[in-house]
Amino acid sequence: MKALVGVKRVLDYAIKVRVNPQKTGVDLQGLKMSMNPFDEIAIEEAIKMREAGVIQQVVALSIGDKNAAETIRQALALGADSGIHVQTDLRIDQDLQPLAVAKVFAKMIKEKQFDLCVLGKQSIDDDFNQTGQILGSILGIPSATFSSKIEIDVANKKATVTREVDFGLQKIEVQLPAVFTCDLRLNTPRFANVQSIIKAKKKPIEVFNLADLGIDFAPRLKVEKVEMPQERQGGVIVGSVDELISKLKNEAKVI
Amino acid sequence: MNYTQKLQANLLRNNLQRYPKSINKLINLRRQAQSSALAQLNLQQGLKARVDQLELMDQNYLKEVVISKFKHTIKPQKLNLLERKQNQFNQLIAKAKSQTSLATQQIAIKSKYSKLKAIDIEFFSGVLGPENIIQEHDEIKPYNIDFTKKYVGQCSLVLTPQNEKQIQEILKYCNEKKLAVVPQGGNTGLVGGSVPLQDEIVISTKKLNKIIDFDPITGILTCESGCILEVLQNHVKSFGYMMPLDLGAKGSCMIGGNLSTNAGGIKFIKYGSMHGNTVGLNAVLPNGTLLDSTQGLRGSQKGFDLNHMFIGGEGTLGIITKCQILCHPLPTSRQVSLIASDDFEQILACLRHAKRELNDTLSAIEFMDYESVKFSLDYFKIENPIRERNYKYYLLIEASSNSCQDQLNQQFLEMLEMMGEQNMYQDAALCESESQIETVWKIREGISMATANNGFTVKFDVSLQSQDFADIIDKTQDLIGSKAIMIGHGHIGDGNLHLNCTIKGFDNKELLKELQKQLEPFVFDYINDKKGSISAEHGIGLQKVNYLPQSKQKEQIQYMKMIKNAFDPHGIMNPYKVLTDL
Repeated sequence: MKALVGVKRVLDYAIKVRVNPQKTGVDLQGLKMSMNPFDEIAIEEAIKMREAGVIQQVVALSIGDKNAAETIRQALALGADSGIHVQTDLRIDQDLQPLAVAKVFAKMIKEKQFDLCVLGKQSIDDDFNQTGQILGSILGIPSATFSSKIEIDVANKKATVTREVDFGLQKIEVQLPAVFTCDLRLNTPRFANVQSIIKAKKKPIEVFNLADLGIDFAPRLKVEKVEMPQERQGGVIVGSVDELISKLKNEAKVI
Repeated sequence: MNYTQKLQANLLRNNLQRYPKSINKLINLRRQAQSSALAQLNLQQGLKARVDQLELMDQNYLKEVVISKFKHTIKPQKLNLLERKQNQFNQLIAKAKSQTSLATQQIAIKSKYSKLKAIDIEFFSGVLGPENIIQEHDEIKPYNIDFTKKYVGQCSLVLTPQNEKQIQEILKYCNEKKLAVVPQGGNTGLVGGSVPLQDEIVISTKKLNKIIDFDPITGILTCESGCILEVLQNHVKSFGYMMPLDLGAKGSCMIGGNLSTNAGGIKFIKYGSMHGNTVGLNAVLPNGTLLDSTQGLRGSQKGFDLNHMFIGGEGTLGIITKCQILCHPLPTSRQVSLIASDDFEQILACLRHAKRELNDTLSAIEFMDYESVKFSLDYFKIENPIRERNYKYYLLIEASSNSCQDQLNQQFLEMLEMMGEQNMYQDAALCESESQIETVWKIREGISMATANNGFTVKFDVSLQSQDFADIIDKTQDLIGSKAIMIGHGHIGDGNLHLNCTIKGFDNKELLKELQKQLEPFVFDYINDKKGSISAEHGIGLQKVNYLPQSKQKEQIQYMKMIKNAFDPHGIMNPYKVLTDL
């Protein structure tokens, strides 16, 4: 069985986010970029499945400009067997949206016949949480989202998935092929070993151009303005009820 | 006079004439000796003093001399009374011993300090305002106990002045009235230097927390001494600068304390000591004088540079109230790798290679043995970055520079590749994101907290050649056998090892004392043989007072004492710490 894992290059999780001066997007100039943390969990899960013998091949896919190749190299260093790089110069944190991404994945899965697709539940730059769900719908296959535990039954081509939902944990059974999106508690991603980083340099990466795939990838949502959230004001201790009322009336203007 | 003395006096008076002169003489002499010793000691609440006091009285005297000699004259009821008193005394001594703080050295209890009186408290209240006086027992408790929980003081008054002027006034008063004081910052010191031994007044600098100025051209930060290190780090970070020091305790330690102990830390290898990074400081002397050197620019210190006395002075010469620290531009990228090996020679090879190859991009190099890493991983519940198996020794290497992240990663990877080809390690993990870097640092920086929470720890902070790190850990573990676990970690690039012996829980004080007795002479002899130092960056405090003469030249200590007496003639500043027999 083969698994396709999606990895996205995003602003490093530990970096403080700033808006660019034109207020059209987040400022990414010269800042540290790394793999989306949820994608790290997705890769880890796929590698674990391969180590357990459930699947035989793990392929990492990333969409973006030439820097996306770095993220694929990282996935290869963690243990993926090969990579697919879909080239585009669109801003992948704003202009390349989940619908387009899902279409790319759908095309790859159909052409290369992957048995399962493992994605992070959302990316930390746009926080859409849509790609996995849309992908399942396009292909007409089940999508098991917010997975905190995945058990594959190879013989019966089924998977039992524990999902984290609002009211607790839900256990479902899905038929393969299926799409899995990973939540935080699924596993702990490993560190890349220097030996495997060196080996990763020799693993193959197939390159495609987004424009050549015959997909309508135009953004459906237009970003009007990007702003920092309002600064949280410190609380004030008032001396009396009268003072509280006057502050609520005159300063906060809520009564 | 207490009960025993009265009893003795009565018995002796009643029966004196019945005894041969020689025994009388003996009894008299003994009585004289005891009463003069007693007079020397303050009848204070200090329990250690009470123990000494009682022991001096030689409780057996009652039994052997008095009871046996007077037996035929004493009525049976009185004899029982004496025996009962004897038992009471024994119980009192046992109780006092079990409550005494764990300083194992014989410390000469000075009786030259005054007791705190109501009039003193009134004065402080007048100068500082009642909100800056703490007298409640529960509120005082954290000021009385140190980070390692081994040193417990009995102070009954904590003052929290808000500015330099207030400190001048209260110190001047304490100096005139001969009230001993202990300056305290974040109270994260590891050698018992920040807590009182007896009932010294604690002067906490925590309210002197104003950041006064930061000049982004020179990189000089001016701030008061009660500013927390992490707060300062975050402040200068917003200007693209960094503080020249970084330690595990940064969330609580204050810059005044860092200066007083000449703190080292993980950045020492690149940025050097606080002596080099302090442009100026203000210190208040016991007589209320303010020594001010924060007005000038860098390099304007001429004449004898008094600031260097206070840096490393551990609060025994005066209180630092303000300082100017030289900050350095914050590198834009950093990369961290964790290297593992069972063979210490490989670790040394990596150290040498990394220092040469990375040159000035090397910003930290830290050594940890398996046990230290294990404590940290268990405490924070995180997985070992190198998960295939456990190795005996780990080395954390950090490089930082202003080149872009990819370039730095490339350089670092190439170096690791070369080291791998030359067989310098058995396994190595490389961080791929800032969160991973923070995780690896958390493991290293959390070792102190993890072991402090595990139980009592006998701590050694030694300067030793990096070649001997593994050897001393092995030898001390052999020495103590299976009684406890020895762990070692530290700044291997500077030759600074933190050697700790840790036992589980805080109940077994006996075992702690035993281990201390076993390990201290062995470790200090080992260090002296190798011409190392018994304190590398933690300071002397209370813990190493008796060992300072072993590692510093006698004449140096003599002149240090002269300077101490010049700055602090009444000896009120942090007594019993650093220097002894003044």
